[in-house]
Amino acid sequence: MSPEHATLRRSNFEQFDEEKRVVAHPDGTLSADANWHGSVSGDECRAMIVIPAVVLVLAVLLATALVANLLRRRRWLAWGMGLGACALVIAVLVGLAGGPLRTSLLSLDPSIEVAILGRVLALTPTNQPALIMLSLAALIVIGFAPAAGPANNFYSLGLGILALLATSLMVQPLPYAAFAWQASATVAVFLIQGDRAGERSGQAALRYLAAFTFTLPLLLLAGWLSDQARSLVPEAAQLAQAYNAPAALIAAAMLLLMGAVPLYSWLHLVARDAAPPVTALLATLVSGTVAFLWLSLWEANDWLRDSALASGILRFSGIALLVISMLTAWAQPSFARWLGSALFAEAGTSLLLMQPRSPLEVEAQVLGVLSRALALALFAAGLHRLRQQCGSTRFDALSCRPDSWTLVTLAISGLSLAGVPATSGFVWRWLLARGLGESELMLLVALSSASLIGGLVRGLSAALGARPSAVVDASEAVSDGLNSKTDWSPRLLAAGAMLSCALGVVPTPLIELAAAIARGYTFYP
Amino acid sequence: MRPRVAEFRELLSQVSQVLILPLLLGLLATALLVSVVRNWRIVLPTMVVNYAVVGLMLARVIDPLISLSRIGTGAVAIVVLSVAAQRADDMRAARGESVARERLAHPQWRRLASQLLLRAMVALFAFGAAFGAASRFPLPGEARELGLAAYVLLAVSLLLIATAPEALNVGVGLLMLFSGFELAYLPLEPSIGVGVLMALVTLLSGLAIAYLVQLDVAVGDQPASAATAWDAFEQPDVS
Repeated sequence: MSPEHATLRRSNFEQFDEEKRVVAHPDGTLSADANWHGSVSGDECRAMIVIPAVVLVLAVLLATALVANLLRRRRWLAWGMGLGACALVIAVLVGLAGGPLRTSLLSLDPSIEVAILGRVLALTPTNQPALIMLSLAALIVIGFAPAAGPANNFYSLGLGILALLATSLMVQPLPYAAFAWQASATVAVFLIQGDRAGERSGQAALRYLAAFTFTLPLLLLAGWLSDQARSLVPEAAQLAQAYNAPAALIAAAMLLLMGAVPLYSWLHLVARDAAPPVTALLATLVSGTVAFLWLSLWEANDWLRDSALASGILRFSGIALLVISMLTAWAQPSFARWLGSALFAEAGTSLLLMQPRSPLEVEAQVLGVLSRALALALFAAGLHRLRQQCGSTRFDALSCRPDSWTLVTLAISGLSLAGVPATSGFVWRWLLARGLGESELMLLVALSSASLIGGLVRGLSAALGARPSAVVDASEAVSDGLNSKTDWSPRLLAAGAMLSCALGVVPTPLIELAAAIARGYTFYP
Repeated sequence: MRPRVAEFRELLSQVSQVLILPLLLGLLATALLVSVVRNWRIVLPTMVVNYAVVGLMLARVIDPLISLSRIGTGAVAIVVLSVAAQRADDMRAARGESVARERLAHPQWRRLASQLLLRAMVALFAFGAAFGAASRFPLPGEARELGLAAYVLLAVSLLLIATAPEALNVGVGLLMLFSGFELAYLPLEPSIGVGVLMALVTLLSGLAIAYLVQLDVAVGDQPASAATAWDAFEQPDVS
């Protein structure tokens, strides 16, 4: 009996219109005819248990989140589990890059797709590196989190959000990623409010939830409209016009997700009201996922690349965010609000890279995700220490001079967020300048950075000018490990600051990694 | 047993076809009430009626049993919100503040008239915009009434999200946004998968909103001298 061939047709975006052959073997097993991962023969399937890699990745993250939630009061254990889960996911995904992983009993196959409610979860050559980078960014933020005093549920909810955002990158057709986004937003509500019950972060959580809720209709309608445009419009000349609406809807959805809508952004509210590590985690993971989701869409849909409207919306929003950051960063009254301006600048710069025409721009986007993770994780730790020691992050209300570790951490991570040379934040801006090649835009980026540096210098001057006698709440200090004999957070912060500077001075390994990911895309002219 | 299910399905389908005008009027009335009144003891039962109307309208274009399950999901989300709102009221009552039941029993007519009038006028403007959009940019699909209903719900939901300060009313706006979008989208893609996923996100969002509703009350515990507890946190410690 010869193998029968079944055909799986996917709809919505063009990426999923390819027809993929699924080979049905006489023994009843199925193997995908994927040409990039190879295939498993029927005999091999019989001898071992085949696990879809998609299932393993999600199961590791979700199961660890569950256990970490049960053990949330043992913070060090939860922290170790968070780090372990991210590291395991990275190791598995890196191992799968060369094809299925096999032992005598188990086989981990990346080519097997999992169908849920008519949608498909799959690992592809484009989302696999994205998942690695996202997990790496989460690893960095979680790694430095103990120094930032997170709430008990930080690790479990953080892993849950990572799992849902990973799902959004793996789901096909891509518009249905909106459901995973929405689910991640509901989890984020609990995280944003996590350690601030009774304070104002309810407003930030509500804005975050509302922004993500708006993206659901936009993405689903965009998927339907693109299908309609392809199937109903016969004239090639009219086709470009018909694709304008879905392209604009997708661009608007990306802006809402990134918090890049100037008058309706979740970025500054979360930066102001949520705990620092929460801000770091959400800003890092969400901006990273949006960047990679956009690259996937850009790779798969030539109508999106041809849409002047979508490019115009993103470019205009990027410029608007940089202008807002330039005008406001230097005048911010507190470190927490300065962080909001820095996030605006990061989002604006990232948006300028969302019409990539060369590998350099993709490399800059990829490096931006990692650099942002490191800088935000360190800044969050600095903010936490400042609040613990001085009772406030307001420049005019610092009741004491913070210790030198806090100042150094705030300075180096702040300068990295501003993109100053010899920090990791400079590397991706340098690649941006080379890839973009537009002097006016680079001037805007430089002015925004200058404004951020001005605000940071004001804050650091205020901290240095404060009374040197430190007034620290002893009970909090002991419970958090600050200033105690066993406190090793200064060492952690020192390592982070040195890492940031080292990556700024010797960025070659990171650039090679980013270049390898950029080579995976084929949309360059 | 099966013929009965088929008969029930047929009955629902016919009800949604025959009663389309009363359903549309019911939807307009509930949307108006939700946009004008801020008391959860009125708003949440109205939302259940709104879900029932939306479910019956959807029975025209999707499997009536799926539309029934949609009503059930919406009702569960509203029950969760009701529990949270009741707990929030209990916390307010413990602090000696006015609660929803008292405001219903002893309305302040002088203040109420101006508030209701203003909200009613704004809601009517939103309805006007929805009618205009439905005639100028009709949604794809054969059932035009569904398009109008979708525009009305979307307009009212945006109005609530933009103007209501309380988490409960913003949350009701978000849930109404889901309903409006379902009326617009499910006729285009009447699949069980999309219906189930929409129901799931409605439930999850209901849970998150219920959590935030209780925080609204907890904010009242902050020091009176500061605008918010966060501001208090950022004030210098003068002691």
